[in-house]
Amino acid sequence: MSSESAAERTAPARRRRGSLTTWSLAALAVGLTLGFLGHASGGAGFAAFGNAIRPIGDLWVAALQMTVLPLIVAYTLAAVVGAGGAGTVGSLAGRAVLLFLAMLAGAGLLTIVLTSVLVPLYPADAETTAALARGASIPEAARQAAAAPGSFGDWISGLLPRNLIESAARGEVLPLLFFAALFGAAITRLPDDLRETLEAPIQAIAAAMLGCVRWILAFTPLAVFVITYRFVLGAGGHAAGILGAWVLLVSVLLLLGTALLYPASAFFGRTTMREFGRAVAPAQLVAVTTRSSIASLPALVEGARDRLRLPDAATAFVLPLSVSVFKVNRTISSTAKLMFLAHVYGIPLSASTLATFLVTVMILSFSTAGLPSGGTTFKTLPAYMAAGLPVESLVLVEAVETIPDIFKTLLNVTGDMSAATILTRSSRRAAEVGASVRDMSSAPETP
Amino acid sequence: MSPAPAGEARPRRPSLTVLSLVALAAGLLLGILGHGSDGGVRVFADLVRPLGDLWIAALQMLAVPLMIVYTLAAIVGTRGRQAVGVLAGRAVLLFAAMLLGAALITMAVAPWVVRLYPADRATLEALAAETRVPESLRQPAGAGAASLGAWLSSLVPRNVFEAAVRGDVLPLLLFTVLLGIAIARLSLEQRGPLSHILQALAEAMLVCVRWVLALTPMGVFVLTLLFALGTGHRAVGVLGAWAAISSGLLILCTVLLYPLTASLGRTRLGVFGRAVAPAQLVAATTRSSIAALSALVQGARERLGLSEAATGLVLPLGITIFKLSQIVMNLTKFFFLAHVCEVTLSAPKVAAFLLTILILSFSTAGLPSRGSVRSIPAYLAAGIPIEAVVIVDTIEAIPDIFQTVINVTGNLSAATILSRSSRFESAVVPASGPAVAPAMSEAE
Repeated sequence: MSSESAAERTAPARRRRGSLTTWSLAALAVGLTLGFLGHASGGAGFAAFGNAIRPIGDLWVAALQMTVLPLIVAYTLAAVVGAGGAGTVGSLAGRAVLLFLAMLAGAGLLTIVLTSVLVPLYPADAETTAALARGASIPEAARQAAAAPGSFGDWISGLLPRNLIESAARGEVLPLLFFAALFGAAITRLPDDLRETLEAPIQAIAAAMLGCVRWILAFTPLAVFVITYRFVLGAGGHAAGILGAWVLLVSVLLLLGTALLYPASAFFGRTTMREFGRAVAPAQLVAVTTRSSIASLPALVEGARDRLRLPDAATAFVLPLSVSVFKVNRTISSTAKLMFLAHVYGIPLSASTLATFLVTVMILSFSTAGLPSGGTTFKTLPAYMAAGLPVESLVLVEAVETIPDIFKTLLNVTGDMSAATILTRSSRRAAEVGASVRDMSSAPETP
Repeated sequence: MSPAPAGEARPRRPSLTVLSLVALAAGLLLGILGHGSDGGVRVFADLVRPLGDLWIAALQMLAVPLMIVYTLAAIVGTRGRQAVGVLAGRAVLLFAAMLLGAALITMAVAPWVVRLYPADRATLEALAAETRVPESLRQPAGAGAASLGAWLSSLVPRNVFEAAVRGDVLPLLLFTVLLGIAIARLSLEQRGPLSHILQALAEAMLVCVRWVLALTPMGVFVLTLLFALGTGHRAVGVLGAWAAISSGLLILCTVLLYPLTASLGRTRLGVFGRAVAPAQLVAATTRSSIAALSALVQGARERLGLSEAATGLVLPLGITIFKLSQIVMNLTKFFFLAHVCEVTLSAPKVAAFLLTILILSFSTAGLPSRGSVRSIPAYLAAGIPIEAVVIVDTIEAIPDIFQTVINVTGNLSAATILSRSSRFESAVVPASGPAVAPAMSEAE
């Protein structure tokens, strides 16, 4: 339901997705209204209705869980194999990826600090928490993991799977992703004919899994209705409070993240905040109105060239790359969502759970960048599941994501410009890098 | 064998079945002979026991990968895309119809047969005195509360890998079918290489199956010998009567499947019998439907020449949700215990029981052990004491054999009927009649 990949879609797909979002919002409204009515009147009929439709929600959640883990593993593998095959790995690309990772990690860490301060401001009363926890299935393993936090060394050594199948069976997504990335990178080193033999089936499996997920996502409005209805029936007036608090929290965090990019770009990119602001403003306007990063690429390029006078390297390579793969909002909105929902549901989070989540989201924010449709939250679903969050809770906040979406795009676009500025102006070798990029950016297009 | 199979298969296959039958007889004979003495035969049995265990393990090891790979290959290779959903739907309908048919036959026969055994409560009460009913069975509260919706969502695996580790076949099959349909919908150049790999994997799995099945005579001999040696206590009185009656009815229903398949599935009694015989042998000796899946697939492909869709989809589906034995056994048990405990049965009672059992036979799919536990409330509702139900459950080894056999036979029968019913023959199988051609040629 996030709009980040809007421009990557073809027209009919966009129409269908748009209507799906509309339907989800409508389902949310209907579920809220009916739930409030039921909660206010306390009628037995409402409760019976809630129990009767519960399997629909459960079924949908289970189906989504079933497909998403294979999807992201297949997709990460396919993304790594595909990227390696295109031969785009160069020194500037490498530096760009490193900078992206650093910015993602910085944004994530900042979010963890800020959210842990902000979230307690919203009081989660015990009664509502209990009602919520009853309605959702919270895996026992999550509580145990939080109760017995391991050391940093344990966390590091747990990142790679000892036994691939066992990790997969336990739903530990990060070790699987690491293995997929490693295996994918190894495949790219094979001779062409061998690599192509493997690449085609991997791409096919990823595409097929995506097809499965799409079928399931087509039922999103129905599930949103069921889950919202049951949620509001149990939580009553608190439900609106929770959703409102979430929108407020994530919007504030996203805006704060955007604001912080100004001094960061000015400092590392050796420019002034005012200059940077003026350069990025037109792109921000496009981003807010279209909610699409890619739609604002022309405005970004113009601002970079005319206002900031960035070299060709920035406009021809870094900006297009970062617009398509670099979503700096991911670590902010996902981490905030995890911490907020854990707070509301009364699920304890340990430091290692947070670290695992952050790294998973960072990896996924690259490898799921090309996914054409479907909510980005659903692709990061296994990360939330591994942290012990019930899927039902995600569906709820996902339905109100339309408002934070605006700020997400705003942050992403600003982050793109910021990355381009920092990369091309920080280095004294800007000129020589620019020259090398001119070769590189033209290379993939010649064949 | 009228539809001549391809060259080298012919002399080997029948002899394997015959050999297995000889092994069965030899194992049984040796076991009975050695039963009295505790000399050389027992030492020999202990020596060969690992061979039997190994054979069962090999069959079970192959079952899940075979199911996944073969089902995927079958769905991806089927040209009629819509056919998969239609076929699955028709399979479930046919399963339900066959379950109902088995229920009607049992209900017609069982009340007469149980009267052959003169009821004497004294025996039952004596047995009841020394039977302890586990406390967990007395309060099957959780079992009763399980709704259809909860069952449905339990079928969808939250984590496919976990389902595979636990050996939950039905959730795994659901995922496999979904993935298969998704792959089949990709464009040809996208799906081509993957479909090739799947075909190759499926063929390789079948080769493995052939190797393991070549050991059938050995496995059958060892398992029969161990079984004949092990079944020490002689079942007498109520239990003996129960074993005889239930086995008799199971065999009757199994036999009735042959003419049914021959007429509806447009095949011959002999051909069907020969196709199902290896699977029946495996089923009878291992007492595991899953272990018999490999033999079923082989029989369906090489003897009956069923379509890929039928073998790849209907057989795994049948293994997981289609249990004729549950209907026959439960209804027989119901009438038998009502007779022994002198409970009078009214039509509504029977109807309610039948309905419960029909639903249970679908919804306990994939939960082999819990099946009998969950049916207990249905007996109690009809006024049959729980002790009686638990007692007859204690002797299960012999009826178990025939239960597995009827399930396996019913499964192949359903697959044959579905595959040969006119629409799918034209849609999926290119040639009329049994084709022994390997799957590769069919898929292209």
